[in-house]
Amino acid sequence: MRIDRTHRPWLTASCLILGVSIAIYVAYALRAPRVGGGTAVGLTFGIVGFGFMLFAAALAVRKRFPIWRIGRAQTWMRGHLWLGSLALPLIFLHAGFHFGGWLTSTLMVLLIIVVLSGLLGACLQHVLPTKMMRDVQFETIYDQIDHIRAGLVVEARERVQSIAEEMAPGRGAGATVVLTYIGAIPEINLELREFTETFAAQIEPWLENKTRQSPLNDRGQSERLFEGLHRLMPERAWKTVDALEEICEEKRQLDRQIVLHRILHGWLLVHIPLSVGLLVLGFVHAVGSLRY
Amino acid sequence: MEIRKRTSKSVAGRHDLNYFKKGSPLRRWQGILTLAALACIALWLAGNAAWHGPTMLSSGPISSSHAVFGEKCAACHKPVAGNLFHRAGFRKEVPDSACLACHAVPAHHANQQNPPNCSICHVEHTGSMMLAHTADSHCTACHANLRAVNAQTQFASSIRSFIDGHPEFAPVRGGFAFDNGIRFAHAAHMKKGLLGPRGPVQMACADCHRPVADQSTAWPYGAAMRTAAFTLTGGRTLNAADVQMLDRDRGRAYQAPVTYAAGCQACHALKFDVHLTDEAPHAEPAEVRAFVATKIRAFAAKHPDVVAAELRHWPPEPMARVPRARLTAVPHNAAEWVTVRTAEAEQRLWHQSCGLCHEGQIPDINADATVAELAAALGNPETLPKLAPTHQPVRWLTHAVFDHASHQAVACAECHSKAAASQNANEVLLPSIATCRRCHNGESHPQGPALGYGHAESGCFLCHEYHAWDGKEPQPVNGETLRELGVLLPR
Amino acid sequence: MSEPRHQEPLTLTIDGQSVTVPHGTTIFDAARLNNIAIPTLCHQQNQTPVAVCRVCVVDCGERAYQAACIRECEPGMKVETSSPGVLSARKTLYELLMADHPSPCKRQQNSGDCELESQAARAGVGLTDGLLKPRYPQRSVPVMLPDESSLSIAVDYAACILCDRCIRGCSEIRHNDVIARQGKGYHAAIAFDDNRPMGNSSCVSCGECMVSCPTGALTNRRVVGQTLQTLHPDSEIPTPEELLAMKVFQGVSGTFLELNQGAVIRRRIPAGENIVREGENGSTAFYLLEGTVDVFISVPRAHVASAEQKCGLVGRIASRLRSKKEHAREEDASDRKFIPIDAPVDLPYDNPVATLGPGELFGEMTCMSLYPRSATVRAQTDCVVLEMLRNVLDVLQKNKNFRAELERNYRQRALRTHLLSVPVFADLDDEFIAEMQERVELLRFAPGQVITEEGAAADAFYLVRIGFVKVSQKHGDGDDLVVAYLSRGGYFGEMGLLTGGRRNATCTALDHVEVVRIAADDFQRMLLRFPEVRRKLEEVAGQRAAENLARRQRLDRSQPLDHYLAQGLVDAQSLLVLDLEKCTRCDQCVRACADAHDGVTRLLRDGLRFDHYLVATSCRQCRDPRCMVGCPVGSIRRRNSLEVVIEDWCVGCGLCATNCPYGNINVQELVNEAAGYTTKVRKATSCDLCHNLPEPSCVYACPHDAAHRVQPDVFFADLLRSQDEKPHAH
Repeated sequence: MRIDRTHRPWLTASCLILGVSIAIYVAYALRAPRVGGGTAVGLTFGIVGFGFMLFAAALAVRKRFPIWRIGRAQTWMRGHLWLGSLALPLIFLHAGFHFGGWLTSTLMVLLIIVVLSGLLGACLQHVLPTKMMRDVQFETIYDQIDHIRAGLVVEARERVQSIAEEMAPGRGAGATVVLTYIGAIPEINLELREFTETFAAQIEPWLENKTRQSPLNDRGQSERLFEGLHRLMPERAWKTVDALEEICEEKRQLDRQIVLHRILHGWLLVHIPLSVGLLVLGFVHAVGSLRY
Repeated sequence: MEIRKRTSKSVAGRHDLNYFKKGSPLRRWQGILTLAALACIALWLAGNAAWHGPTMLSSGPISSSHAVFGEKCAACHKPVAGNLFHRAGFRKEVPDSACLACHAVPAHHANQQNPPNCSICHVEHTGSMMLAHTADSHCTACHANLRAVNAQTQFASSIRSFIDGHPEFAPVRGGFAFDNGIRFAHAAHMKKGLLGPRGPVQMACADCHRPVADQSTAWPYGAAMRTAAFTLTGGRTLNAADVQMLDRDRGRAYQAPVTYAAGCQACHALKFDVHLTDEAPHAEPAEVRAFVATKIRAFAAKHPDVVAAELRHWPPEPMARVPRARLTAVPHNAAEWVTVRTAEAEQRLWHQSCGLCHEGQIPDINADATVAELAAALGNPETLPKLAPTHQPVRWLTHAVFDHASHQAVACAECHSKAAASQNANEVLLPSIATCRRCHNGESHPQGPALGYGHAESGCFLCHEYHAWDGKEPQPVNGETLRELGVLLPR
Repeated sequence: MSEPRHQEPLTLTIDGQSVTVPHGTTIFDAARLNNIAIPTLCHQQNQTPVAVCRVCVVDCGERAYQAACIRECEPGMKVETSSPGVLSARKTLYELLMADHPSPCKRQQNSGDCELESQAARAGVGLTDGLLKPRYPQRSVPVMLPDESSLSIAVDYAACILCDRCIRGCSEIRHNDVIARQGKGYHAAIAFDDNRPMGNSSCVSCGECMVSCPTGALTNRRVVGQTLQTLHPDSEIPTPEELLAMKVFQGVSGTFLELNQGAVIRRRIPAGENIVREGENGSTAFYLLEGTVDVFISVPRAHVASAEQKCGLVGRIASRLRSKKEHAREEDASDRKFIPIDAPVDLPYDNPVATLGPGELFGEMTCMSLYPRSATVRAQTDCVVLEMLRNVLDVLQKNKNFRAELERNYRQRALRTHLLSVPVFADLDDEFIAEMQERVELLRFAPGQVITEEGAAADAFYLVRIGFVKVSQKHGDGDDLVVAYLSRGGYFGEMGLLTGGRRNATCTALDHVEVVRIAADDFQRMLLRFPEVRRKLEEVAGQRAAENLARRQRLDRSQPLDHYLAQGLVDAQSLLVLDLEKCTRCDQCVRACADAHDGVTRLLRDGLRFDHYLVATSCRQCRDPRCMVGCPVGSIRRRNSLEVVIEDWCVGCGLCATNCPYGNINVQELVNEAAGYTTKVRKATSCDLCHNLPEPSCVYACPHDAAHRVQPDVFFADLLRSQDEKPHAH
């Protein structure tokens, strides 16, 4: 979520917690014979830090039951952001800024990566939704993009088929036309053929995602291609050509949406597995340290 | 603008209403990667447990002295039973018994309140080189606010560090009574232009004060010790504690007591008669009396003419620089001459030689005693002086251990600054704590980084020992336990 | 020439004959009066002449030949109707017309009376060896395919000569205004509505165009072998004589029945067979001749459950229906006890079964207004029914014999339940109702007709028997504010009678509406005898007044914005907007909605944008709830003037979904497990604002503060008025 003025109470509380923790740590580090996770203060920091991590992880559980009245999802999200971020300094204070053995070093590295990836995600969420909104006017539901694209292909094909009808002037929507004699007119036939060939060779495979490299991927080149088609076809058929151009534009925008969406959600592929690992290993560490 | 008509209905109508139930690639990959992460972790934990035991759970590198145990965590980590809610076997802390299996160490003090576990002060898993060096805070945990079990504490009760709350050294503190039985003035001996037997000399500290290890080097004012074994005058021996102290740090920790033979003899020779070059032994008065009598008698027997000459012209010339004894008796024959000369020699020795340095009772002889009385006195042990026993402590600070060798770079007078001006041997010439603090005012970080700039360490562990070794060096490790652990090579 | 005075007779010469006719008579009429026949193609005597075919041209001695059908006579005119020049011109015209005519056209094939072909033959166009061979060869002209979509009339564009008769017949004679022209040049043709297929247009199959058409362009489908009978091969087509023998058909024009043979069929249905199923589309009505039928609603009276405050542990993706008893909804005190259907009776809610006997008509609304079937009808015994199309039903409804029978049935069977189903009348006793049954009037209204006008004196109370009535009030500068839509069983007009003043709303018929009218003094008598009724009415009046006030106040605050209007947002009372700058497209809102509603989501994260918000596809609680118009069982209604609720007896016909202009209503296919077997049931679902929860689930579950349910007039007005103010949700 975006961090805005409504986060102020959380910011204040977090700074307070951090300040108090640092004060306690400084007082303890100066006096204590040993600074580390096993001391009383260190253990407290560890428990509180792990508690914050568990709460942060509980967000995933909360999202699985979205309608349970256990606090608004927003509140949980803010808690996740602030308390999750606090877990990093608290664990540093817990460890006394040591990395320790293999397990604890791994834990520290995982924690740093998880918190940093989370911060990255938060930054992305400030930037990418707006970008998506501006770049993709035809935005739709990500999971349905393939379905929509298939629909675009069908629509494009229908329009191409109807263009022959539109070449015949004066017909309105809903009319069905007997094409008995159109083909007999040579000029129209030639244009039609070139148009359908262009469509079949360049536009259709690109719409179907069969070819990834295509001039249509670039807006400027697409405009040039369609300009050519405009010159080719008579004015009465331009409506279809324009519609086809818009279909291509929509497909381009959907491709862009896919890219942006993947970035917006891709960092989770690092954040979530590593945080699961962090919790499991954290638990192992807690048990192991108490044991030994 | 838009060429194809887009209405809310047409846009929404394209969708399958159950799309969100069908799972999307992103969520699927999240699940897959999470499972993969869990699998990796499980494999790593299992692999580690299988090949390295619980080493992975170690919170830091082992100290160099215990590194030989390798991955045998069970060497120290033993199951501890009955701890609150921990059932037997879950907690594997390091109980004291684990340490004591190899290291037999005495307790700190009988009246100690809540003696801590070994592992509290000797912190393992920090990669330390010297596990025995502990941080000050372990000591000040009690000593900053000292309470004993059932007695009043005898020590300063709020020591927070060497420079904060540490009391003045006991010998230096007011009220320390000390009597070492010798009259000696450092100032007289260390002044400029001191006249020695062969001209002016400038004495230095090391001319008399040396550690045991340097006993066999040349003594400018004494006879060199032929043997490394250190002996006191008259065959006395040091007590065992002092011997152990002297042996510390290969005999360089403490200064050995000053002996007559090493430091005094060259100038303060015990000559007793003008005719004899012999020196009386630096021994018990009885022995000296016998020696003197024998020597004079032997001389008389060997040189009757000298004796006769002296009998004729009585009293003879006094010995140079040796004041004449005040006896008025006149010998008339050789035997009397021996008696008188012996008595004179004795008087000279007792009063001018022994009495110069030694304190004690030195009986006077009547100056008008007759020869017969003199002879009787010579045979009477009552007339021997009773000298006070001398006493030079090796270890002045009974609760701390000092090492002169580590202070080699410091000149004697830097710390023992009062010595050069000392007039009285009963003055305690030990430096006060302030002298030490001039350098030792930095913290100690036994396992940690270097100290602050310009300071010497002042950790408790540098001087004090927690375990009541009483000055003895710690005993070696019990090898049997190591063998059981399979650490050492099999027999 | 001097101006003759109006109405004076004038004299002219036609073909050498002197003819005196009144002023204003056309040459054609003048000739006809004197037994001189001038051939015409586009002129029909009951229609305004347009003179497009030019076949009736005559020589008046002027520079050009004049069309006789439209040219008025002048005194002293000399007219030649069959001079060689005129004949030659006519012949050329016939040749030109026949050049593109698919002769022999269907009319010529079946009855040999295609006017064009007959006239052309008479004029000797291309007669060779008995076949008509025109001088001008057939050209390549793209032409529209024959239109077979209408059940009674077949359209063959190739045969059309654009004579305009059908257009005039439809507009001038029948006033249906369905047919018009489209295109230019060779591509000119007739069109139905906005060029729809005839069957999908507003054509009422009266047959006037077919009767007017001179060629085979518009023909009776019976003639070409396609009728209702095609759908039911074992049915019979009764002859007009048979029909006229029935009481209900007495008084109906025999010619009409003749021309529309095939528009009514007789079917025999064995016991146990379904005649119609609820929710299906149809276009016919049924008149029961013999036997009895069961009418019932087979879909379970249940709704897709909405989540209560506490939710179960298990996430539900599959849907389950919960009947009303398990999951009671609030405000059920004002339930109807009857489900209104398209038949002479209403079905009781608890046991929605009824029986119809001979002489009863069902399926009226489906036939007249093309609404989906409201109930399932199954033959109880072996039955004989007449199934008819709209043109026949229309004619029947105008027939007074039929009307008498219909009204009698209504009074006996349905009026009582209708009266009792009005909550304020629940306390009326049977005696009073019996009295009322005789004193009420049944009135019919055509689509668009105003029943009562705002501001007029209140003089009657109305109950809706069939059809949809729009209740609206004027607001501001003449905008119509829709207050409600009423369907069968609904009532209006009582407020005016209660206060004794003027009507406070306008009631308009949206389709073919029949109302029951109770006159003012009967109404007052009722109020006097039953004070309880008066009290309840006053309560309702108070409630409505408060709602009206609140509605007006909200409206007064609204500021119409251009781009806002374009999306229809001004009509919305509550919008679900997703802030696109905060939304991470995570689908939590959709999941939450589905979780709260048994796995059926009521919102979709796609739609049009406004400013930087996405207006999600989810019920907007429109002021003018178009979704409600046409529900055959009246199950979609408004609660507390805001949330739209679909009641348990929804039959899943999908009309509301079609009507909603924003696609906010969806019909779900759900699995129903009952009585040991599973069936698929269709129910319509739409957003109910999670009224039983303190906050809508979607808003509650959004982790990024992006989803808001807002009042658009407040929300967006703030946005535009001041950029510093934070918009607040509804």
